[in-house]
Amino acid sequence: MNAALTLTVGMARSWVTLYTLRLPLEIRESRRSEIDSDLWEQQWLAARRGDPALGTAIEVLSRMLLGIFDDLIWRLEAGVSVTKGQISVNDTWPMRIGFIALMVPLLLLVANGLGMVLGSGEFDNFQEQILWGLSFLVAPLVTAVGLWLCRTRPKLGLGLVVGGALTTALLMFWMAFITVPLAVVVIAFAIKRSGLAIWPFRPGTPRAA
Amino acid sequence: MRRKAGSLVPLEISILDTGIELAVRGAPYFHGFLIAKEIKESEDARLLTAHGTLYKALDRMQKAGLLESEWEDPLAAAADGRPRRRLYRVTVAGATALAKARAPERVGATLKPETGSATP
Repeated sequence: MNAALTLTVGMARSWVTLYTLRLPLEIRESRRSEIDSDLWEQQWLAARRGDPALGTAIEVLSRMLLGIFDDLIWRLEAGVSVTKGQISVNDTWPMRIGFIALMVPLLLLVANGLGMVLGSGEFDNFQEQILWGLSFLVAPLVTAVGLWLCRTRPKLGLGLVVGGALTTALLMFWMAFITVPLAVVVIAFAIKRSGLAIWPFRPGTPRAA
Repeated sequence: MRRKAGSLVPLEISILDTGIELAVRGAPYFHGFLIAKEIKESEDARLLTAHGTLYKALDRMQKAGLLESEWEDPLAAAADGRPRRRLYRVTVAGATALAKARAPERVGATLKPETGSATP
């Protein structure tokens, strides 16, 4: 199997694993098995037809990226249905909307990094391409994972967000006047989401005068 | 914004339409990738329906009773050397919902005047 196809199929599987984390076993396994089957059928059909592997890889990637928003909505709905009556202060609708609003650009940055690894953009040599591509791929991915983990593992999640967001901002140093404030916003949101008592106005307490 | 209860979005119409078409062709059960492929071919689309969009719609339609599903026998899948499929089928409620969704289109088509035709 072509390396690009292996990579995109792996990404699609990893994404399903990520957004189904902490769901009840039955729901989680059902979604993972269904996507596994879909990916297998797509590769099998492409191989049978003799379609180019790179084209199939791009289609798998497109299907994953274009479905991210629906995946997140599905995850929120599935999460709500199993935790009804246990919604905490950090699980309110504004927090969920904020979470999605920050996840979408982060995942687009991840896609951009993947594009670099796969060959888009102009670089002097292959090593430079891989180095920049992986940096652009990993930094926002770490931020996104950190943001996801903030509620369940606050310190780990926040650490990942701080590291990832600042690295992402520094990677795009030529537009730091935009990326640094955005990184600060992401970190602030992560602190709020984590519920740690380092937010300027602590959750559940009146704002300081 | 919430959609009107009982109404179908275009993807749901496509899924029901394709599911019924497959049943007419003698294959009442379909899996996610098959329906995505059939929709792509019938609509001459450039891409297959995105994973998230497709499976969220299938999940929603099943909860609404428009589809029913069952997991394939793992032994049958293993014999073919592939992961097992989740097989869906359009229910009577699904077919009825599709007919209702199609009704306004038919009425519109009936009322549409034919250009150049002789009218009494």
